[in-house]
Amino acid sequence: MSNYKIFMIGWEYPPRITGGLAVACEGIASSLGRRGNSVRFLVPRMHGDEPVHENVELVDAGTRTELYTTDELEVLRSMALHDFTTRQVFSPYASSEYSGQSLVDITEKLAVMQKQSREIPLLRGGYGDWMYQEIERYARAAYFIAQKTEMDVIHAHDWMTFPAGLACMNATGAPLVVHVHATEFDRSGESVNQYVYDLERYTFHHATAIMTVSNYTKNVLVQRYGVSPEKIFPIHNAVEFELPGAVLERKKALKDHIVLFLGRITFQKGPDYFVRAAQLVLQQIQNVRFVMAGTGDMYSRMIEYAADLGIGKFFHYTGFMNRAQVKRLYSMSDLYVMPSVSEPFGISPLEAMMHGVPVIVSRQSGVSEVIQNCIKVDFWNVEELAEQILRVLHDTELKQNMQQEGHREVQAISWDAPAEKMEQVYGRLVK
Amino acid sequence: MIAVCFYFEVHQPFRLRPYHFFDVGVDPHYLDEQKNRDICRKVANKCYLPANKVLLDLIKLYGSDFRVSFSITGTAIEQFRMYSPETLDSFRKLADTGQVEFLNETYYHTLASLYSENEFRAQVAKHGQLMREEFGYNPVAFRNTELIYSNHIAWLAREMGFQTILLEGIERVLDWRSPNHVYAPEHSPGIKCLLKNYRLSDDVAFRFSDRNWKDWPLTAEKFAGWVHQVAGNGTTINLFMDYETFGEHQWEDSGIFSFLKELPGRILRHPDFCFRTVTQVSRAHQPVGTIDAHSPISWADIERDLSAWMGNSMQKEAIRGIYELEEAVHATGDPALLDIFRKLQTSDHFYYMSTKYWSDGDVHKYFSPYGTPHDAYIYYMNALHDFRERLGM
Repeated sequence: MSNYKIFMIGWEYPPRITGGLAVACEGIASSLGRRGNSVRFLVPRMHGDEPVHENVELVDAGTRTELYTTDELEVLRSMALHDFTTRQVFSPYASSEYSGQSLVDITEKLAVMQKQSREIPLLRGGYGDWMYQEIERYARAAYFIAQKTEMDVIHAHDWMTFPAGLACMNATGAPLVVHVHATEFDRSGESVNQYVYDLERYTFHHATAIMTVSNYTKNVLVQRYGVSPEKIFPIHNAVEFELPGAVLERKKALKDHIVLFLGRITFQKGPDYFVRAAQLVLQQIQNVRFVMAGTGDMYSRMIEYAADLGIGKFFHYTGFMNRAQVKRLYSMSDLYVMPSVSEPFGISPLEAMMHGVPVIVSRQSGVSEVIQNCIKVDFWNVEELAEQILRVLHDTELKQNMQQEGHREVQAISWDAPAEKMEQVYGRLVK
Repeated sequence: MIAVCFYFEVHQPFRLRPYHFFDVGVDPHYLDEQKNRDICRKVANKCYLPANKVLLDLIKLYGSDFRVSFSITGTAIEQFRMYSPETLDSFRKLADTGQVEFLNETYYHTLASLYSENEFRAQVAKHGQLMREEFGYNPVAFRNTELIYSNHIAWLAREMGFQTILLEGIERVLDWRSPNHVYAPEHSPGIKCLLKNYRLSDDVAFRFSDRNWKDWPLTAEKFAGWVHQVAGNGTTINLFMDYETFGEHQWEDSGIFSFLKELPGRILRHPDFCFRTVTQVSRAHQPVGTIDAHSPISWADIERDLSAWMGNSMQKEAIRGIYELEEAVHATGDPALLDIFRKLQTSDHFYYMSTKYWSDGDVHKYFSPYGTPHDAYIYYMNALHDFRERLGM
């Protein structure tokens, strides 16, 4: 048991999630709380349906005005009004509320808005072109709140929270730990957003310590951000399931094998390698269907790609799926493939294993560092990937072994181990 | 006398519902009944019923001086039976005047002429039978889906006993010649070609309510003037268009119905002009030349070729996927499976998958019941896979 006072700064929190970040944040905060630490978790905006955990206090920086003094509130309001009106005047079409209106209309609206400036939200959260200004405002809000908070350590998750983390460090003198769930290279490939990269680099160099979700990501920080490896502590993510122990009942609606790709259909997830491997598999066997679940900027291109290769009729696409649909898909699948080009961690192979689905993951993923009962391939080696797909589909013994051992292995994973490692890192920093 | 030959295409496809991967192997219902019913009733109220009334009034007013031709697909008639019987009645009333000709086409509005001669013959025969049953009319003229035409298709039509076949009057086949004459297909004596005058037809069908068009607003008087300019330069002006032009593509408030009401009077004011049906025109004139079309043409998009249905690989995959099932479907001998097989052949499904954007893409998008061409493809391929499973493939 330990009892650190942790001031945690996040950007998203379940159930309003856009990716794995929120899920991981909840896992980290709840396990630290369970172990006796007290976590004050700052988010830009709450929606009221967030799950509650022992020793975790969620703090809504955007609407809880009693957190601020009158003067502080005035500062935040004037920043919000300035950012909001600037956006409206210089990019009037960026907001659907104002699209199609003339400048005269907008000017009139502005006059009204100025009078009603108290109604402009201090923070909105989420992702969009407003967020560059918003993360600065979030930093200012966090600075005000941190001054009134007792803390041993600041723990900030990903680049949106970095200005806030730095501000809090300046406000309190407490050590700053930044937690890297993904870098700009994971999100954007080689065409990085320079603003985000610069912010990340500056923060990595000024933070007291850095936690990464894998050795893979630690290497990215060393090689591409010039960060000293001594201050980086890889701590693998964990996963905790609401259905402990139970393998889902297998449901076969189709007689063909089903090979599943599940995730955002974007460059870094390697969907094109999945399609190319499928083409090679289909040269050997035809009783197999490839399901691509998810959406992303390569969605339509991947649909066309399979059609171009003349294998369109072996593919199915589901678009975005909710939790229940994802479960159902796992229960139907014979094999899960994650051919990520760059994956800091990657939680969904663990979910697949929990549901008794054999898994092939790329070696270029953090998750491949923590699991053994799976097949690992290099994402670019589509021949090898195709061969392994065929092997799992044909070798019943191997398949059963992967299902059973994989399930057992994932059950043993919990957030306790990573939480303990985080406490060890805190211990080095707190005098 | 110079004939004005109005021919209207009436078609409603059976649209597929968003057929999810989870439905495959579970749910054998592919059609979007609610959407099909809603659209059928909407178009009936906006177009078929009011336009039929206008035509009936015109026939009463001008007697044998006013005639029109129709082709009504089997999938449209099936939907009228279910969702709008009064529309079918109003077409029967038009048929009863004896001044209306009904053409033959593929019952399911398909691309079978390009993929399966057996399916093509069967679907055309089924449509001919439908025309006899519904309207007591035995068609002798043929129009292929979307006016898809080639030497081979003309040859097939002649083989099947048709006297006339319609096609788009584009320069690619006409060169310097005018569409306002009767032609014959190269190498297929015994059948004549009527070519759509696409400039005048599209003035009504596409440009009527376009406020950026230099000739907007188009009055009946102005249009009759353009028609009359043909005097001395042709024997027929073939105005071929979708019937949905009236009230559905061009809305009532554009004045399209007043235009239609007024036009015959304006045209007939010139003593050398009359209205004739397709077969009347075809029988009254000898071909002045031949039409040679090795690769298929159509009336769709600016390309006037097949790219609206098979321009990208998704469309090609879908088309290949359905036509490769032909033998298996026929082997079952099950009329219900045959009906589904043919409803899945309807060309509209492939049209929705077109990724041609810009000006033509707008048209594709307007007609599509789905958000994107990719959605259209996904739902179609899911349904197709379920169908394949039902065939035991």
